[in-house]
Amino acid sequence: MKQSVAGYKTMAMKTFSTQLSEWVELNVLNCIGVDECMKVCPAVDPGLSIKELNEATRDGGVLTEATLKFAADCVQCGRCDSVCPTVAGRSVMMLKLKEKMAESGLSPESHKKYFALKGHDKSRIRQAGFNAFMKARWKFGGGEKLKSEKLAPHIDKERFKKAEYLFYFGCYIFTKERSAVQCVDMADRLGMDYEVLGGLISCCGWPSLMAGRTEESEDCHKHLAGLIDRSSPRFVITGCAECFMSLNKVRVKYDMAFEPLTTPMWLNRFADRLDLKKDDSAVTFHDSCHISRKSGMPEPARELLSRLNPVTEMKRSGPDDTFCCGYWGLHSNPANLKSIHNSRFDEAMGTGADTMVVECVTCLESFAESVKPAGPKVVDIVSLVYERMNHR
Amino acid sequence: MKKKYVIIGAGVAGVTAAETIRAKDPDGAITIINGEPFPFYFRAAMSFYIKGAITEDELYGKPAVWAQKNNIRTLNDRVKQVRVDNKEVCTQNGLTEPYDKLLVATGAWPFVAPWPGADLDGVVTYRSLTCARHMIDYIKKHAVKKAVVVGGGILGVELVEDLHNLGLETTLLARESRVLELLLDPEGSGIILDQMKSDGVRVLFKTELKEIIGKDGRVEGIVTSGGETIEAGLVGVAIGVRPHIDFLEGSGLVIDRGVIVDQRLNTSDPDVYSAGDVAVRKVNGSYIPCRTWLTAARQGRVAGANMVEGGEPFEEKVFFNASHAYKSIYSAVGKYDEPEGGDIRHIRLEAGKGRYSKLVMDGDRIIGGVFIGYVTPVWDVCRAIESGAKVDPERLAGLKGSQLTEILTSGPPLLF
Ligand SMILES: Cc1cc2nc3c(=O)[nH]c(=O)nc-3n(C[C@H](O)[C@H](O)[C@H](O)COP(=O)(O)OP(=O)(O)OC[C@H]3O[C@@H](n4cnc5c(N)ncnc54)[C@H](O)[C@@H]3O)c2cc1C
Ligand code: SF4
Repeated sequence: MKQSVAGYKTMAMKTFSTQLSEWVELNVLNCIGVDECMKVCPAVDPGLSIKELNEATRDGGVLTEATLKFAADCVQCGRCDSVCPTVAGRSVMMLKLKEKMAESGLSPESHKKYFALKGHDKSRIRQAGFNAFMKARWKFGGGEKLKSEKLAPHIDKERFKKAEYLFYFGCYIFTKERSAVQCVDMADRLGMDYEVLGGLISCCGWPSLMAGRTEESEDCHKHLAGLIDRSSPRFVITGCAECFMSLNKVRVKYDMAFEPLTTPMWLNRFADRLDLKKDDSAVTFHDSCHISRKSGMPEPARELLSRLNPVTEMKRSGPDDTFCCGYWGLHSNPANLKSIHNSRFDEAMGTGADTMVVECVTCLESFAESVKPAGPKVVDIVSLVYERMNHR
Repeated sequence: MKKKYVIIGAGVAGVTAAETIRAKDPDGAITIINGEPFPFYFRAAMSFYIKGAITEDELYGKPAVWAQKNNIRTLNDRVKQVRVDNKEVCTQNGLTEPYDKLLVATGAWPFVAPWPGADLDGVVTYRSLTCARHMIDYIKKHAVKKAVVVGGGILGVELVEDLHNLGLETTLLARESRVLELLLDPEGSGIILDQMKSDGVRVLFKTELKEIIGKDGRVEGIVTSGGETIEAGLVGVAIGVRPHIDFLEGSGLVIDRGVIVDQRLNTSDPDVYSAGDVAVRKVNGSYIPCRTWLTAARQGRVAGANMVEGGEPFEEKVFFNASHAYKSIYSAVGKYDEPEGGDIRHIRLEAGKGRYSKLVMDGDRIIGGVFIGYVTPVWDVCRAIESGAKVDPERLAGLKGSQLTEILTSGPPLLF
């Protein structure tokens, strides 16, 4: 880190909240009301007018029932951003609206899980109330059954060795069978020099951001930067799209030297040594909004996949057209989420492939809720590689 | 005593000024004199209205109750004279409105050259909702099938798109050797041109209009500078705009290609301000017009603030233009048109089909950029230009346009 974490903010750097306000003030003026953003949005209720939305988003604007609902439901997929002829960044404006929602204490009940579960300041979990706290205990850390033996010693640890690669599993380190364990297994076999970071205290800040708690989210970034710094890695690997976005942000904000990698980006680097078994049956691929669209990286996962199976594309795919699995929003109407999942499954089946591969553990978790026997298998790309490493 | 604010023009500059004044001076008396028979609307979104993508209600920029709720008086009238000595304006309907602070925000109007036949019915311009409605009605009434648009700039291209959407067979005459010469580089222009051609639009370059021909007072065609006669029931003129300043003649305000204002948007009279397309800032001998929606709005905000308490400079920002050109969204920022040579290099980024992205570098600094189809990185590019941050041109060259956001951000990345 060229600049110490503690030294940050002594620079005339604005808080994210202030930046959001400035963004909104500028882009409410920039908006010419063409409604393109709303037409592609999976979360907005038809009929919410841009005028009402803009007025509510501005400083001093009053939140209406419809705008509140929208604020909670927005998944931050970024579809809106790419169609706006004036580049007014609706998704960024939505972060301000989320912040206002939180400040006004009007977050819907269903939304509270986001600030109940994570963050390095555990007092927050208590603040969230008994039920949420118990649920969090069960989901994260409390349920021993969920922990993998191999990863348990790494959970919420604060001492790290220096390593070239740092696996950053954040809160998904708590899942026993999936991606995280497989990653370290493969790393061992590849003889990599690595360290592991994960647990509640290394939260990437995304849940706070989605809950409209921007300050808390910045706090998470700062804490995360400090933890990463202890291992001074050259590469930080994550299988979660939101963690990846946050890593990019942390890297730039604290002027750190590491390079963030998604799991496919990492595995592509070791492609020669993976000795992957190829299979002739076609699979299809669901893009992550945050990796394909917002980070503009639709290729690495496809490149990796093509080493395993022929890939057939769904009708809506790639950075322009992919759409969100719905994990981060759409609370107000669970049926809406189901229908998004089902239409995606239909699309996947329509390609003739029986497997839909994802590259982000959030997408995996989201789709898992709707998986049905008649639909496609939803598979994490890491698991697929893990199964096909020949020297297993 | 309540201060009296009078604003001429209910475009984005005028309305934003009114809004700003109200926020800063809750008691002041605000009057907007609106020369159009509609409340404030999104002028730049008229195409979307014409093609039916938005309703008339959605085209209006403020909720119906806005003026009343903010205690803003609006008059449907036109100013015909400004008397700075008496601090009053006179209107077409015979009103005399006194002011303490006046804002001239009357925008601009398309220029029509004195071609033979320019006064025929069916020769149209495109600036207001009245223009748009007239055009649509005329097409319907006379069952017009073919049109000619004069002017290969952004408004001409937009008009071609609208006429194509209305089902007309359209020919575009451009004096330049490519479309959107002022905004895009040759390759960028090519992408837009291809889209027009695939829609069957005919484009004639290096061609001007010589004469408009007609019968019984109505347009029937044109003759080009090359001598070709083209049949057309409608001729759209989009060869540039002139500031709306006729009513300021004799007012004593300094006028030179527009109402001259200083950095605080103050005119030559201490109580008169001007903002938007009608205003021209004269900085170190060069003239800086407004031209875009966002700049007009930002100027309205600064002028409004200064009419209440004075002192706020209009902050010069990196040139930013983002809009739609034919069927693509595009953006051109900074010194996007600086030609290559010496330290100036153009770096093309891989962008994909129908897309285009390019950075203009001066040594290891970014000074401009052009994006078509995919425009998300432009704000980051603007910030990189503003901060003068150094970037390695070699690293840039290997990037996809869409990866720019990640590499450029010179402060905390904003677009998450
Ligand atoms: C079809 C079209 C598309 C455009 N697209 C874009 C785009 O995509 N992006 C972009 O940045 N810009 C675009 N522009 C330009 C943008 O709309 C203008 O820069 C902006 O509207 C200027 O705002 P203004 O308030 O200065 O002037 P205007 O919006 O022109 O408003 C001035 C108002 O003053 C009124 N007025 C004039 N004289 C008088 C008088 N004597 N008394 C009373 N009222 C008077 C006029 O009738 C008008 O209503 C477009 C323009 C047009 C016409
Ligand atoms: S980010 Fe996605 S969900 Fe949120 S407003 Fe934009 S399109 Fe809608």
